[in-house]
Amino acid sequence: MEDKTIIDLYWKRSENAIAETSHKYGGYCFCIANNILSNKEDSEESVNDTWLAAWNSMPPKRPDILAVFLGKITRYISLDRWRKRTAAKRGGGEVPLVLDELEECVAGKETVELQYLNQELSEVINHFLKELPETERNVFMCRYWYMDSIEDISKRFQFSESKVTSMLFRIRGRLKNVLEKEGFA
Amino acid sequence: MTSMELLNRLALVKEEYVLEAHADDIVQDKVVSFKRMSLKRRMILVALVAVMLMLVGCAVVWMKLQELKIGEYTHQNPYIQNGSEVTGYVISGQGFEGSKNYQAVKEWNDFYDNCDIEAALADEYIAPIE
Repeated sequence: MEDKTIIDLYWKRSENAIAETSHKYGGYCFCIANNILSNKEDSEESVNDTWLAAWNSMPPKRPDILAVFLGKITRYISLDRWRKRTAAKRGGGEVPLVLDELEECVAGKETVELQYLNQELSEVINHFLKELPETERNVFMCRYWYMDSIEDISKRFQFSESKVTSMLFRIRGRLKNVLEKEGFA
Repeated sequence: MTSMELLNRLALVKEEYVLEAHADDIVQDKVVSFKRMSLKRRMILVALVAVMLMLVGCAVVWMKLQELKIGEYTHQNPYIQNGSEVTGYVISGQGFEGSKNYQAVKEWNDFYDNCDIEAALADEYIAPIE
């Protein structure tokens, strides 16, 4: 079923909306949740919460790309569930490793004024990603948006794991420079 | 800014970047990017398309050959002892069925098949010269 038709089902408050969404994007959302939570039950809960959040947000929203809209919701819910489940930084899944890697890009201190600069930060990150070559951008997104493991990324792009690791290291170095220059790190 | 904050802010990146990274997982309206397939799947797909094209070509050639057929004949398979008779087709490259060239060649072929080349019939009516 086309995305437009699925979104129309939400707007009509049809019971089939969730079933069709689950059929088309269930696997995709589960993959995102499981990368973060590494737990089947928690991941399924996150996916179910995603359908509820989608039901509550459409209408009034009518997303351009339904897959990304749902993926963002799943990612947010899963990260939130991970934070609640894990008091300490160390825990299951890829999130602790990802957080450790991103520590290189930031100073580690949260200042009050930065809370109001989220929009500006997003623009900076988008501009940074736009300047990256396509392959490097995709590797970065797979690691830090989808939280794929290094092994999965190396299989997806048919690189060696060391190549993926060194590529991410270089990208983080450039991101750090950009964030420092813009005053975010 | 903490690393968790940065991780959260990544949720606001452009949708096209999110889509591009996992394009092969996101079946958008049943269109899957050929570029995102693995080499093995691409090669299998190319091989399947080549086989399909070859089969279509063979079918077209077979159908066109039918239109070139001007007659049939039977003969015994020379490679099999006491084998059964097989049917062969006479085809002509003069033209397709319906064309004037085709009709002319067919008429000649029919005449040739039925004419008395060795004059066996004539011998029945003409008395031998003594």
